[in-house]
Formats: sequence, C-alpha cells, structure tokens
Amino acid sequence: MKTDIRPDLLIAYFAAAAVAAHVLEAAIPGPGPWFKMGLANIFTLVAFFHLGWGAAAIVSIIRVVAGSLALGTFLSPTFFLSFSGATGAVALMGVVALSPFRLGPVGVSILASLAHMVSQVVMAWVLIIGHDGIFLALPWFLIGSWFTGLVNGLLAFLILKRVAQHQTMEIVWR
Amino acid sequence: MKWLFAKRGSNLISLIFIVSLVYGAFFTGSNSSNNKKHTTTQLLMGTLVSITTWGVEDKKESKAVADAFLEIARVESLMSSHKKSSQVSLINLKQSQIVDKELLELIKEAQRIKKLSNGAFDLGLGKLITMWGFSTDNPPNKPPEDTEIASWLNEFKEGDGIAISEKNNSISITKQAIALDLGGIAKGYAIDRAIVSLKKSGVQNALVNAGGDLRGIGKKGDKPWRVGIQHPRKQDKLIVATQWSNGQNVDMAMVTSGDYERFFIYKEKRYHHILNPKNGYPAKSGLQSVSVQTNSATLADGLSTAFFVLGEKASKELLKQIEDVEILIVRSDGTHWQSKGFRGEWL
Amino acid sequence: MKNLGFKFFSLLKKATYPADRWVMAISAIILIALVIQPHRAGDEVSIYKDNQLLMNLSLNSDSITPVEGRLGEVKIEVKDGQARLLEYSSLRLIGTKTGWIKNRGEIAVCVPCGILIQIKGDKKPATTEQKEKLFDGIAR
Repeated sequence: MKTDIRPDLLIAYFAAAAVAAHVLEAAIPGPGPWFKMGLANIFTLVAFFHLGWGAAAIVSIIRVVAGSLALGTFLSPTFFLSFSGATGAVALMGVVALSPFRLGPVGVSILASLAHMVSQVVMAWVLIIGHDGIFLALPWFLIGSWFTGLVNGLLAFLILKRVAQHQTMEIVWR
Repeated sequence: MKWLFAKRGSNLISLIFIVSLVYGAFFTGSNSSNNKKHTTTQLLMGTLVSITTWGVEDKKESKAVADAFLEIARVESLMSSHKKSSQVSLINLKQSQIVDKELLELIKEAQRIKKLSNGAFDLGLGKLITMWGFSTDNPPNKPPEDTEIASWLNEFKEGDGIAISEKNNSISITKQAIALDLGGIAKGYAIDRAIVSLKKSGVQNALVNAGGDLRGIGKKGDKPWRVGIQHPRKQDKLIVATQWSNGQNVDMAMVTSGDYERFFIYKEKRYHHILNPKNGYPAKSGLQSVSVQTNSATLADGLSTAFFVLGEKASKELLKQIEDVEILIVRSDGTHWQSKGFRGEWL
Repeated sequence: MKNLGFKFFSLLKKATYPADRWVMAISAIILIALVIQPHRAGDEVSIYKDNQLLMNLSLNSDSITPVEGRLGEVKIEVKDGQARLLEYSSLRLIGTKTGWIKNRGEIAVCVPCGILIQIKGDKKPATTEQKEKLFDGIAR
C-alpha cells in the first residue's frame, strides 16, 4: 500500500522520527542500557511493513548512527551495543520477510525485540562482561523485551493504519 | 482464551503439544536422573578419592557411595601408620600386638609379595621412611645423613623380623630396625574394600580412583571405563588411554608407582619416595614409572612398588613367574615397554 | 479500568493475525520455561572440611570467606564466577590442585588442611566430541 510520497523521502522521515525517539528516550533516566522502551523501533517497523525490509534496514542504521552522533556516543561501547541490537533485529526481520508466515507488526515486533535483546547481551558479554553470569539475567531481560515488543507493535500498527489511510506525509507527525 | 486463536480445538491441542515439547526440551537436559554417570570425591588417605558409578538410581547411589567411603576411612584408621591409634601404629609401638584377622591377612599378603619380589617390596621400612620424611605434611628438601642410613641398613639387613602368629592372631616385630609401614599396599587394599562394599550395595558398574590408583568394574552402558595415564613429567599430558574391556565386563585394577609422586630435588639430584630396601636410598632402576594391571588392587599396589625397585630386567623375570599381571614401564629416557596383555594404547 | 482493559484487548485482536498470536503465545511459553528453571548448580561452590560440607557459596558475588582448616585458616575466594583457595598458613603443601576453578564438578584442594572445594553439579562435557574423548579418571 503505497502513498504518493517518494519512498526515499518517506524513509528519511521515518528515520528522522526514529532518531528523535531514540534521543528522547536517552534523556529519560533509567536503570541501564537495557531498560528502554525502544520507541525508535516503532518506526523501523512502520518502514518494514510499509516499504519493505530494505527500508527498515536503512532506517535502523540511520537511527543507530545518527542517534549516537547526536548523543555523543558514536563508536563507544554503547554504540556497539546499540548496533548489535539493531543488527539482530533487522536480521530477524529479514528472516520473517522470507518466511511464508503472515505476521503483523505485533508478531514481528516481539520477535525483533527478543532478537535485539539477545544480540545486545551477547555483544555485552563479548565486549564488557566476559563471564557467563550475565546469561542468567537474560530470561528476565527477555520478558521485558517481550512486553516492550508488544507495546511497540501495537503502536506501529496504529501508525501504519493512519499511514495507509492517508496520502500525505503529515500523517507521520499527527 | 476464545479470542486468541482462529480455530478453537485443534489449536489448543497444538498449543499443549508445543508446551510439553518445550518443557521437555528444557527440563530433561538438566534433570540429574538422566545423567547416569555420577562421581563423588572425598579427601581420604592423604589424597583425593573419587568413586564414579554408572546407571544407579540417585538415592541408592548416594548411600552405596557413602558406605564405600566409610569403608575406606575404616581401612585407613586400621592400617595407617600416621594415625597413632591404628593397629599398625600399635604394633610398632608395642612390638607385638593382637590384631584383627583382616590386618593379619593383609600382612600375610604383603609378606608374600615381599618373598615373590625377593625383598624389593618390604612392609617393614617404617623407620627408613620416617628418616626420609616423605610421609609428613611438610615435605623434606634434603636427604638424611649417609651415616644414619648406613646404621639403619646395618640393623635391617639380615633376616625377616616380622613374626605372624595365626594361632594368637598377633603380629610381632623381632628386629629393632623394623617398623611396619603398609603405605605400599594399603591404598590398594582400601580400593578393593570399597569395591566389595559397592558390590554389596548392588552397584555393578563403578570406578574407584584413589589418588591415581584405580579399580573398575562393569562399564558405562555400552562403553567401557576409559582412563588416561598421566605423563611422569608433564602433569597436563596423558601418555596412555586405557579401556576396561572390549565387550565383556572386566574387573581390573591399575596402580602406578613413579618417581614423580613424592620427591624433592637436592643438589640437582631427584630423591623420590620409593625406597630400595637393599640400600636405603630411592630406587635407581632406570625407570620413571611402572603401571600394573591385575584383578586385585592390593596386589597391583604392592607389585608396582616391587617392579619399580626391581627395574626392567628383573621385573620381566618376575612377570614370567606370575599369572594375570600386566605391566607398562616408562624408562628414564622416556621410552616405554608394555607386556602383551596390558590394556592401553600409547597416545 | 475495566474499560481500558477491553479497549486494549480489542485493539490487540484487530492488530494481530493468527500467526502473530502464535508468536506471542510460543515466545511467552519459552520465556516462562526459561525463567522457572531450577537454579543451575554450576553457580555454587561447596566447601568441605574433612569431607563434611561446611557451606555453599554463590559464584555470582565476589567474596573472600575464611574457613578453619587442620593447619590453620584457609581463605576461599570467589571472583568473576570462579573460586580458589587463597591463602593458607601452612608452609609447603601437597595440594592436588590449587588454581581457579569454575566448571561444574571441578575441584581444588589443600590436602593437609583437609579442605576441599568443588563447583556443585555433575561435570557436563560441552560437545559430544568431547564426550568421546572424555576420560573417566586419570591414573598416575
């Protein structure tokens, strides 16, 4: 379901929204890099369902890089964690795109969220922590990811409904 | 839950199926009753003793193993010359003592091995061993004076010195230079007793490892017990892989004596704990280690000491006179020789 | 509040295909299974004196615990998921193994102290290939 906006512009808007969400979330105090809602992912999902996997991948990369530049964490450990998480999520989306299952934003979001968390923890284990105790906490983190995945999926669904209904780009900001 | 799935019945069944699949996959992996091999380790006889069983149900296993360890502890308190209250210590103290039949039989067996090996194995070296200090908690770092050893040797040299009276169940020492030290045979005996205890508890597949001396019965399911022999000089390396049996159940003990177990280096010479009764010094027989395989750990223990002291040539001679004993020797230059029936592949 | 609940579930119904719901259900089940698993024993070290269990220490928090051995005090150190015997007041020991241990079933010991520590659990070989090469005991 395409709108009459050029796809690449749409990607840019989604990416901008994602970066904004990312930066905004970073401003909210929280227990650590793993306790965020991941609102930026909503836009990755929207891009995925509206424009396809490639678009989602682009939005993701832009979000991670531009977001870290904006926050001043480019090439820091935080950046690599973020990057690995996004990579995991995007890879999983690729698998979903190729599979015969008909999944909506909620399903994809939950799966992507879980993949994101696993990739991040593995990267943290490699880069920072080094001993296996971290994997003990993983199931608990994943439960959090499941819920944020669910919420993000629902929000993406709502946005997608609007994006599909209307023909102009103002929708994204409504 | 009506709203969750498009079709009610079949989806619920699939769900239950998946749940049990997932549950099973996660829980059988960590479930201990699926792990048929179980090892328990205790600190006994001044070393680590491990008892491994296979295919025995948990509760029965813990009891059988606990009983076996108790048996080892019992043997230790009966026979250890380190424990002042042991019967062996009492014999040494009072020069004559009434003992349990069990100890009597063991001493008889020790004397038999002594005769067989022409004195290379001797159970009366207590005073010499104390002189060298290998048995204490603070290992020695220099040898005793030559004069001390010479005077001990002088008194020790002739004759037997240990009298066994079956009638009175007593052991007497008739020579001053003699003190009983069953260290060269007691570990093997303890292992044998542990196996007896395990068998009595109904365990058919077990491996008892006391500080590197072992006896194994049965097998692990369809695979035999598999043991590696440590390199005499490099602790992390193995030189031989030994498998208990090729299909048939094999009850076999393997004991290794070497110059690397307890030793010290003084003025660039190695002094190890296997003393030669003929001269009072660590045996210089051109060997680094001897591993003996036979069906009794007691015999294997005594013989391994004997073979080490005897050296290669005399050992081969002795081998001809006894049956069902196989050996592996590692010479000082690192080369090895093993008897035809020795179970083990060089690695 | 109840109204909100109904609103939420009806939104959920609209927003999901059957496949989505399967994903939700299965992933939820897997996560719950992961979480309620019994505490794997590889996370504790047992301390024995003269073969009697003195205590179990968690490997998850660093600590130094003193224990009374036969020759004086022995300290057991836990750090980064590993354990070792730290100091003992006796002089030269015939300990069998005294380095760091962390895998299930591994042992460190001070023989004259009568102190033995072991990571709880049965030894688990990592791969089946290792299982083949595994020895049931070392003779020496």
